[in-house]
Amino acid sequence: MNREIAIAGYYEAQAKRKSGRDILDWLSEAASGTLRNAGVDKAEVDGLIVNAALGGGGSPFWSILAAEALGMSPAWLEAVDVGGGSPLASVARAGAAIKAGFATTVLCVMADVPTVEPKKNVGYRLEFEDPYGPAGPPGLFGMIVNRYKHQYGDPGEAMCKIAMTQRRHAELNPLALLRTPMTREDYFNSKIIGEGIRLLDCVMHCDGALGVLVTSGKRARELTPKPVFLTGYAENHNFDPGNPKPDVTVTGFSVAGPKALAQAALRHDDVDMFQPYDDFTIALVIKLEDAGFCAKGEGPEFVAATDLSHLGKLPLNTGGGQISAGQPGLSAGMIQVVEAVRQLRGEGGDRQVPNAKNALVTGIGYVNYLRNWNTSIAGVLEV
Amino acid sequence: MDDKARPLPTPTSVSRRYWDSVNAEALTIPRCRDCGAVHFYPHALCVSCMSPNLDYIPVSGNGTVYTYTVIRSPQPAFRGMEPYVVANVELDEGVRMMANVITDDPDSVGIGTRVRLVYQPVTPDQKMPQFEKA
Ligand SMILES: [Zn+2]
Repeated sequence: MNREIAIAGYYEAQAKRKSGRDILDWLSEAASGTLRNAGVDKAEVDGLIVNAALGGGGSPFWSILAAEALGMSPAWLEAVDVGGGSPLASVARAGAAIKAGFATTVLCVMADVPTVEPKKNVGYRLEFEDPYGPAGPPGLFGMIVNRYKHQYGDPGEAMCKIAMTQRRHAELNPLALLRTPMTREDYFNSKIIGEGIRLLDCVMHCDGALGVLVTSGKRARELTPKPVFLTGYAENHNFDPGNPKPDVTVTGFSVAGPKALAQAALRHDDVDMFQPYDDFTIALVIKLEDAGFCAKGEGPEFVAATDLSHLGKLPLNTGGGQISAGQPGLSAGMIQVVEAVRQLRGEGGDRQVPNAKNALVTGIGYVNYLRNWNTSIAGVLEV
Repeated sequence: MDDKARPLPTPTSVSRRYWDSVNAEALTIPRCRDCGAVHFYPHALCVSCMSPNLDYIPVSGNGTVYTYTVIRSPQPAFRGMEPYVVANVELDEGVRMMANVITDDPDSVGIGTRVRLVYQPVTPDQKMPQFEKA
């Protein structure tokens, strides 16, 4: 990829638990906030993307209702439904629409209210998972942790370091919900949900909304002195589907991660920061391996040996990630996109990564039946 | 649905043949007539080659725990049952199933534990496949 597609503005609402606010209330805040940040008139925005949400956004008419609620008459309109991968996917889909000439400037706004309106499972989970009481994603990820431990050794210390590093970053992020300092004892003493997963490995649902404005590289340069370009992007969905006995420690990120880096012509050593979708700490160990920062099974050693702080060699989720910032449902993947943009524009405040020129950002969605997550998305953002 | 009621399987047009075999205490799994691949849970086609030609074959009921977790903080419908084992069991026929390993000693279950299939009645008309230590 070249520098044809860019992000020209962003917005992150202050997330809240049990907000009592309608999803369209949140979506509207993110839409006007993003436009204001980008400094563009509503009249210039001719494309809109929203995300399928856990709470409030499940209607088959969702994108149409969103356009109506925002008072827009877009030339191009889409709802993205690849779970937690939708926000990063929306940036690439906006880029594709712009390159195809369907739109020139696309508002990507993501919102969700899972603590107002809890999600309901659909499909095979109703028959083949829910009756066995796996306790949702924490139990499913607990099974992944235990298999990982069996094949490669206990990743517990690495998971602890990841949780503590991200919490330290959250302490420096005024928008994060969990900002109390976390010690090693806090981590290891936190409640076990399902064997393999402690409370402090997990995200906490909240309500929230975020947005970015995507336009051509040319227009972005006119709008802001700091456009952020999408220079690499790859998706993989439903990794290894025909295999009745898959290795649950390997994910589609082993395909999408290296592909996105190659598109951007970046080697692992060139990556200035890593902003990975973090529903559970083990997902970050696995992603470091699958993206090729280290070999399979060596994630814990890599984490132990690498300074992951905002001043370190590979800054990790510099805003605290979803685990410490809070997870506003399926809009949460935009936390990683917005934090990367913020950092690349030099607006990281107390947690600014020095001289950051690029970021590897990821999204993941859904957990498959007795496999790992379904959707793996990797994107490279650069100034 | 009531949060506190235990979720029960509701067979669909895709899964009815499978659930009928469970209720008859003779569990079968789908196998492709064209490429021979087995899969689980039951799909409407072969997930290896997309052929619609599926047979349902019987299983021995013997399996091994591929991975597992012990739920210590369950969702409302399962409160009071903890700690209990949720396992990914690999049947000797080469597919994996989620089920509970029913035991008084959850900590005795681990990766590699040999298990055998049992049928647990959950309503007068519906059974569920479960496992016990072999
Ligand atoms: Zn086949």
